[in-house]
Amino acid sequence: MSGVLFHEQTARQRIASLADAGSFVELLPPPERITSPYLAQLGIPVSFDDGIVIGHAKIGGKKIYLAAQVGQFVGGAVGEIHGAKLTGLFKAAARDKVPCVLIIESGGVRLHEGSSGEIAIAETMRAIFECRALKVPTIAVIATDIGAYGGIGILSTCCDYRIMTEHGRLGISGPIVIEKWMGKKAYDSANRALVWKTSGGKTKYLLGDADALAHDSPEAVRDAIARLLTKSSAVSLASVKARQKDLEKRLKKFGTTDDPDAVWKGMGVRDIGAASLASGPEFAALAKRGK
Amino acid sequence: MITAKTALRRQNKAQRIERVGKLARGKFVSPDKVPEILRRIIEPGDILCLEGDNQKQADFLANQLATLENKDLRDIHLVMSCITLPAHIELFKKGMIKQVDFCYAGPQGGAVADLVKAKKFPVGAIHTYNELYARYYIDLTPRVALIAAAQADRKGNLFLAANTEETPAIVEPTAFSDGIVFAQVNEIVDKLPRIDIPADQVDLVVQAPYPMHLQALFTRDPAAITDVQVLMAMVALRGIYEKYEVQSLNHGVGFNTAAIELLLPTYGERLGLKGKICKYWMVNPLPTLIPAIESGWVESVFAVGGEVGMERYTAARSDVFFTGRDGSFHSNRAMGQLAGHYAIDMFIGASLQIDINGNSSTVSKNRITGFGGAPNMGCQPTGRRHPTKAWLKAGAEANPGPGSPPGRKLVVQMVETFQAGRVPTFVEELDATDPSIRKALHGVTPVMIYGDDVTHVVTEEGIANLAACRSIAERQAAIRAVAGYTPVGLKRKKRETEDLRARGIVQLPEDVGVRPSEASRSLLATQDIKGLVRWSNGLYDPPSQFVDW
Repeated sequence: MSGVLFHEQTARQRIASLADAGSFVELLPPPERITSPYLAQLGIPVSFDDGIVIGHAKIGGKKIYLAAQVGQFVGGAVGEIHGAKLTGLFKAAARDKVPCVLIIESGGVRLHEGSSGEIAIAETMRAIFECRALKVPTIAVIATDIGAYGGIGILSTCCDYRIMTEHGRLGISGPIVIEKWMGKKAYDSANRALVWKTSGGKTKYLLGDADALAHDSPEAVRDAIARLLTKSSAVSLASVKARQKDLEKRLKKFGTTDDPDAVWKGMGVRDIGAASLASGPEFAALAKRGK
Repeated sequence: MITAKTALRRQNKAQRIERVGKLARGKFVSPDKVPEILRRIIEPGDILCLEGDNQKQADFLANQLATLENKDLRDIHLVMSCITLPAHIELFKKGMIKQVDFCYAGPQGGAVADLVKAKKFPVGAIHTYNELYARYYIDLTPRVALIAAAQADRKGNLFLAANTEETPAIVEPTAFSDGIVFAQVNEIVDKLPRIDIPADQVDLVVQAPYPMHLQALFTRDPAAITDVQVLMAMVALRGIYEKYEVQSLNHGVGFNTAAIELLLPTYGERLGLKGKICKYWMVNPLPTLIPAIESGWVESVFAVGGEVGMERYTAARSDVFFTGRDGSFHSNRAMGQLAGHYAIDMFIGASLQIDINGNSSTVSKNRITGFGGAPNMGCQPTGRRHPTKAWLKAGAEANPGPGSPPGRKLVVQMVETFQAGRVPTFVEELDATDPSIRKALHGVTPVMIYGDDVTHVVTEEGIANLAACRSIAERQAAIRAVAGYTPVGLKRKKRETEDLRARGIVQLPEDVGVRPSEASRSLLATQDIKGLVRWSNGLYDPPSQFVDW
């Protein structure tokens, strides 16, 4: 419980603690000053990395492409430059047949440059599917409360694997948006327990949307990445249909419940109290996810 | 003759109770009758006491009182610890109050400042807790007291549960002077777990339609502790706790001291301080103290109040906390404050503003908050006679003259040089000296802790040992030396600072063996609320706003 927490690290600290010592080489680093033209026009401060750090590194001696979004800069939101860096990295991964890992921390498209952001996310998805067609592993790590929402939430589900921690959140619309449309009675975004039990890493792991649940430490996240670096699966009509069936089943089973604990129970969690306090693999052991 | 006179006050009480008549069944009344009963038992000119401190509030009775109008109730002399509810403000707006004597205005500080500006806040004085309780026995004895309890039995005995707080300090002076004690309770039961207030000190009881308001005031989420606060905590641990061997103490409610609590089982353990410091506490059941308790640092904790969510944990650790025969937690604000005044080596707390003389205040032009209990603890108790190592060591440093005590309590102010929003903590002059505030308070500047009482100021820059200063000018220089980049700090003179440092009056982190680069949140025994729950073996139930699982 003590030590460096992954969710409290900055993007650059995360990269430094995941990659083999000294192995990270940043592409388009801050000294190149490639910044958003739109934010500058709007008089909003720019960032020299436009909120994303990309490059290549080694994990356990194995070369990977690696990106980490900077949640502190406009919520890690995707603008033109940010998006282009992301697209380019996955394209490079496909070209070089090198696995690509994305440390996500983003609410989706940056509103100030919406169209460019949307296009960039679509192009990145295409690049991810190129990787998958070539069996180049793609991994998304979602481990902070900024989480993966909007277009980035969708993008994360295009990757082969998602690694989450209990702090991570994954969804399309964020809690405040849901509350705004559905009403506070339907979804109280201030109810943190409800928010995490519906979109948090543990629930996503139970439902199969996350493939690994790691402790909130750089070491645990690195181990989870290392374990998944070897495998990839192409997307096929059959795999999409199977996934569709899974989702239909899930909707049938839980579509009418308004109690997140019922979902946990339905997914095999017996002791809700103990599972609530457990983290990472201990939670996974308590849950015995659908196996 | 004497008999007739002594009977007057008693007769008056009997008349009031008689006026209640059939609105009550014995002592018990139904909630809908409460406004009318209040109208009948309170007379113009009464000293009326509303129970409510910064945690526990007789909120149902206060809300019912606020439904009355000026024609029902006027010329009331209100006495109460904490003005914290909108209902309290309503009483002033309706012009029912001819004078108020209180301690603290917490969340209503802005509303109180507005009332002062509108001349609708006829304040007698702002007190410290024990000062006000003491006056309940002297010149502010309540005629009617509206109090809150967890449970009543059929006779009207009361159980106060974890939040005994100030109830006894209100009930005793009222009940023993023919005043009326009216209690709201959460529930009425056949048998109480324990009797905290005997039935013959209680006149009326209502089962409130909602449980009394309890504020989670001492819950500090470790996730919000910063690296800078960890640095300050390390500096304080080495430069003060370790140096003086502080065994008995009070901690404020801030994140700075929460950081110290969470460093004890890690950094403190490494320094070999376990068993040497921090054994006896006068402090509320702080959730951030759980790791230190579980690591065997803490011998005992006495509290002025409870803390929401700590009920099961404190009951399980009755070897550390004071508990009733029923096993549940016990607190007492008056006795806790007394303990914090006389029986501890050190008080350490934070403040919003500190001036160059070391005076501190939480009052600003737009917020009049007041004192609460900090000044009772953050002062030199010159009535103290028993020696401890820390007391004597601090005393010797202060170089007492032939006419002063040999020892000193350590009174430590621990602040970052800037508050949120880059507002400097250190100022040449306190906002509290504002003439309109002084006028409203009859010439008193609302100083929380007086500079003369402060022994040390700790900031992220280092420690200023004010007790060791030999002149006012030297004290000011010492404060400037640790005031960082605030306007106060920028006026320091290099040579003065160097001289003070050479004499150990000013100490930088490295002077007490702390490397700032070492200061990191990762040193904390846990970095989030969930970790506290784990440390407590699942016995701590944090309030829902802190739960994200």
